[in-house]
Amino acid sequence: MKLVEAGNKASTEYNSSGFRMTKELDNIDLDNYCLFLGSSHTEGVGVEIEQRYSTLVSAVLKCDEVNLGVGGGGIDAVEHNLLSWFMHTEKQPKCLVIEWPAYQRYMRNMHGQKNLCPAGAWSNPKFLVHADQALYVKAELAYHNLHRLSPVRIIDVMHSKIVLQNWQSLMIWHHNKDYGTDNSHPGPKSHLETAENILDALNR
Amino acid sequence: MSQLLAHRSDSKVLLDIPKTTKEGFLFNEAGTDLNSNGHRCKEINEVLGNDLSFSKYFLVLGDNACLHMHKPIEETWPYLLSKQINYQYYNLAIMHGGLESARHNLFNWLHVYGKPKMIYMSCEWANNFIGVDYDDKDVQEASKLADDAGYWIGRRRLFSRLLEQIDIPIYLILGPNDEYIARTDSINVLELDHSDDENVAQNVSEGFLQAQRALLA
Repeated sequence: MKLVEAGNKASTEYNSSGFRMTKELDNIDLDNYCLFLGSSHTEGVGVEIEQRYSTLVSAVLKCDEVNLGVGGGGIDAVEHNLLSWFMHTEKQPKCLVIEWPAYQRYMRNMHGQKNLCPAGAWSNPKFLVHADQALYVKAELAYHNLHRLSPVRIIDVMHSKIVLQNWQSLMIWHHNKDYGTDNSHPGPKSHLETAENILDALNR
Repeated sequence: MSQLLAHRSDSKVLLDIPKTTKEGFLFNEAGTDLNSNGHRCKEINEVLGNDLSFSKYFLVLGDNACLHMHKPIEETWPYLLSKQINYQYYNLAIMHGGLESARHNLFNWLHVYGKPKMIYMSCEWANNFIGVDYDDKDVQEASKLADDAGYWIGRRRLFSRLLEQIDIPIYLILGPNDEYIARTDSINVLELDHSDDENVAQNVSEGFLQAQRALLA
């Protein structure tokens, strides 16, 4: 499988595929797993692994957790990893959660770097201003396409900071109820609330 | 309405999302010899049969380089190639669609209809934003900045990685002025000027038929 990695393979918290997971991807029980994709919020930056919403949901559902969150990654990384995953296996997850990153982010090529690097407002602000509509259209297409191509229902999550108004009833908002250890990302209470909302959505 | 629209308050964006067919394919809104889906080839059931299970066909992906709307369809390289190797074909190419439309339509096809025997790709302008107005100054400026921002090489590398995972022979017809739509060891690059349809069909079919004969020998 050729995935966009979260990186930091040297860390003990990351598996050899570069994802913040306690299990290797090869050891996942494909008959009983949950699949999570997204950005740093899914990766659980600022909280312990056992505090992040993906791990909490998987524990309640008593299934293996596949967390393909890529910190700083955009919708292109989400799309790539989901398509790659379902080319790798036809086994369907018990639940599939996508936390949609800001549409302005993308994976960029950097000279001299083997892996693609996340890019966003922090790296290419001028390009992003001019490319805003083009990036939005691409994201919108990807959103609809993944919902159509996915073999199971996608539960949508989005960090509430991305939008100004929270009027989308079907979206699960990952709020900053508290802050993580980096004083920026949501903390344990926020993850717990998001996990509860995902479980509610699964029961609907 | 998409949840992603929560990002934006301007309804103008809604108008710019490219339309898709009922099955999710991007299509050509104008052109000659288009089928009912807006693709320049036969109807899907004429290619795959009424039970949609016929497998002896190839897919065509790309942009104007695979369409040549200024010529009758019978003079385009996908049509000529199909005749010469005796395979059916379905042409998913989209005018000015670039890499984005090729990727979108390929994965939609695999999802809806499964795998073709092989894929031929050709793109004049792979690095093309989809669904935007190139007369817009912002889009023009974004195009100028995209290379330095590492955007298009990133898109190409992601697409290439996806193609590496598809177990289907892929051939890229690459003319002297064309941009790479994907670049990986698993893609067979055929350096041919796509505008010479007869030459493309002749060269590709000769290689294909030689390989077939070698397999049977």
